[in-house]
Amino acid sequence: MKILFLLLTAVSVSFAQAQKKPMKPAPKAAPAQQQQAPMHSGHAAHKSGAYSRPYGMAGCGLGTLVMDKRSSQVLVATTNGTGFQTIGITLGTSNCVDEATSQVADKMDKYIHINKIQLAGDVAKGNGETIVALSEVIGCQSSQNLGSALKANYRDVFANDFTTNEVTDSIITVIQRDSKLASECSLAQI
Amino acid sequence: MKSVYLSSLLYVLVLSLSFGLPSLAQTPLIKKTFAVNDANVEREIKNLVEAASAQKLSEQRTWRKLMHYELNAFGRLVSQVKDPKFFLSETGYRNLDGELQATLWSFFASADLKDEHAICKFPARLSWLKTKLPNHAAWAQLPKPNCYYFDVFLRNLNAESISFVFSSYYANNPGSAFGHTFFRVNKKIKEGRAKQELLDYGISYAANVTTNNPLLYFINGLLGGFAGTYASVPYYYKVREYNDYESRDLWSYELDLKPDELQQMLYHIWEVGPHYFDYYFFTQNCSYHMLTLMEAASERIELTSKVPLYVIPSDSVKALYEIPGFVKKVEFRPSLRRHFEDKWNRFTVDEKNNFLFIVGNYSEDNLKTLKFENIQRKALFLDGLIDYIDMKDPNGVSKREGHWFHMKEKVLMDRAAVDVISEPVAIPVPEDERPDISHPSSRVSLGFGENKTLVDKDGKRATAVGFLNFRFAFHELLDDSHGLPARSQLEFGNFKFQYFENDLNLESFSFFNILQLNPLRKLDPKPSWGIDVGVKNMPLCDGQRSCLGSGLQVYGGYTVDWGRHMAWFLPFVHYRYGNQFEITRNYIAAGYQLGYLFEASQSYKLLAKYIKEVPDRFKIVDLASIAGRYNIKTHQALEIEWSNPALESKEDIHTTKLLYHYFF
Repeated sequence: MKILFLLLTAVSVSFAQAQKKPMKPAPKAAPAQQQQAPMHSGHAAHKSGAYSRPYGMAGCGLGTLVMDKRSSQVLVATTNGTGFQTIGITLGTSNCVDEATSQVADKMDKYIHINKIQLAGDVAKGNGETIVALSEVIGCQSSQNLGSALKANYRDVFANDFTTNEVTDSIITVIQRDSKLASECSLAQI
Repeated sequence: MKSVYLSSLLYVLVLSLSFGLPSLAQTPLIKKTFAVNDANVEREIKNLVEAASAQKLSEQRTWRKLMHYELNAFGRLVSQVKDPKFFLSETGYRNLDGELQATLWSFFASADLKDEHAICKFPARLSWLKTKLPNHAAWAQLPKPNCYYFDVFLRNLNAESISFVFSSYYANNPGSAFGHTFFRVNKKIKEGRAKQELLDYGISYAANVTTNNPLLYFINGLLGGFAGTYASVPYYYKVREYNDYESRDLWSYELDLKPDELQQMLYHIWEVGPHYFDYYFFTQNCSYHMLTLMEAASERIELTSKVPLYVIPSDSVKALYEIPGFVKKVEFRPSLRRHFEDKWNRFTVDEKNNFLFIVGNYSEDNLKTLKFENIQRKALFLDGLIDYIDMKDPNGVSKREGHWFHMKEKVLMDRAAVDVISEPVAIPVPEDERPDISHPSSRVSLGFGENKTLVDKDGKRATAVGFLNFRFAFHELLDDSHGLPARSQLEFGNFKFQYFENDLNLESFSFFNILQLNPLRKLDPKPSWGIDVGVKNMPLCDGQRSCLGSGLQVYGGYTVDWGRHMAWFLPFVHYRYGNQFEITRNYIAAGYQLGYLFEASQSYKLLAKYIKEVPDRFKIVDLASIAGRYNIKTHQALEIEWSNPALESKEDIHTTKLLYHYFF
């Protein structure tokens, strides 16, 4: 009997070590809740970049998200992965459409904020779906040159703990400095 | 429990209120909801309302679907939408005709209402009524409000078509263990450009969870305690969340919608989108309310009647195939895990060894010590490492903290320094895993055999018995694993009866039973676990045939696999309460299960188990069983099982079963 319990203890200890997350039904609920507070604090904490971003009336769209350094936590916040969402980006007539603004920096912020992890990887590789879609967002003729140019500037764009707005600004700078890219990318949605 | 009590109290309150206002329900004609200045216009609107009444439009199926009316638990036809703002009349949630009249009147309100105008808020109702009352003179008087937000919504979607998306099983979270479904609105592709799925939109339905307490979560989920709402987000949210963060495959089924059906569906998404429902985890869930959106778009789309009352996401995928030609195209988007495995499989033996070394000791210097055939190989190696880190600690990477995140920063820098552009990845579609080819989730089984643990009325053993099983959902190890995770088991509401001497006895009822077997991998040493909650007939009542004990068994251990074989060692604890148990009402035991599964194919399977269980006060259990299963197509199966609940017993008390399973 004692041996059995010892065995069980041993297994449960190794279990706990192997699996860092506890086996709770809603393991991601906690971070999602913490995230709720800054969601409503508006643009105050928003660090302004070099390029203008007139976040319009996109009431409950991404425009009001505070794009802090903790990058894609918003991923956890939007839906907690259970098919149950914590913060509703609901559809609606009142103030809930993701209003298309004409500012490319705004569009890029929204896109980069959510795709940052994958985009950093793709930039290091010089190719990938997130670069192709980004080139669509900012109106580049093709994504190849954009990929190579960003790869060459990886350190400046991603290496430090940059905010989304800073990443956006760096990417625009990379494009503007490169004459070939500057002519290829309209910096306005195609 | 407090919330249950409260909600039932509220329910009674609402019921009494609704009975207290009979005059409203019986109003034959809803009076105009605003003043119409022009008497001629007013006459034409009245005329329109009368024409709608004459045609009994409010009794038509599409109107019912647009209003989300269904029979409730008490047999009343009411709307499932709980938000009063969805209705233009006070009793709109239970009065189809009144709501239709109020809707018609509201269309003629002043255009100054702009976005709050019924034309802007309920475009699907308008377009349907227009097709049902064509060429009516009143339509010429329709105001033209400026629907700014609605236009932005349509412009953002820029829809070409709609796909029904299935996100595969995620057993690590009970809420997603069955999978998840949502829509992708495919954008029109511009001339000369390629499709960018990331820039499409996702439309989903989910509950707004308001608690962290697992028990409250469960009770509310079951009883509709959470509000359910639709959400529209760029599709890249969905990809990042499911594909990357949770490493789940996404299957898309592009729907063959005619242009007017597509438009009507988008209109309806817009009009029902901002309003809330009650979310029921098993019945009116994400899948159910995806189906109701499609149903509202066209007469020919009938889906909710094709799925059981409890809607399992994979069943909703199969329902699409009930409409001939409705699925135009199936697409597959591999998970992060598959991306990693694809690269891992392309590694040479040396590279694999190097990978195992560097994962534990990453530094630029260590990386320099590794030899690569060429820089292309080095690039592939690092690409695999990036995928691996993202998969290993998605939480830390997204929060930008922890060991793996800091390692990834270095790896990315080193990868950026390698002057190779990665080739696009082409991962073959695993046709065997398509959710639409999975077996139906409900199952009924009939069988016969002998059960020598039983003693008949003459005191003899070796008795013929009958078996009857019924399972609500969903999958067990022996079931056909086409389109399903072969290495996990998830059963809900599983009843097993035994028929003997004119008695039908409950042998076991499993409320839910999860077994998640994760074969050990060097790079991914995850434990296996399981839980079984329910009622079971225990041999603890001094020979009584029915000796039910309710409780649970919790497993945690490890699994290994080689080829088509898999074996596991799962220690467990077992607790049951039974008020007829002999020695004590509480049965507490610890033990282990040794299991072995051989999958000759996805249809032929063999499962052997040995269970040793040591209770604190009762006799030691020493059980062995072996079962063979042949799954004939997806609907039927034959199974033979032999088991012996007490190997050490001198008497032969084995049970033999021959079972026929029917899935539906």
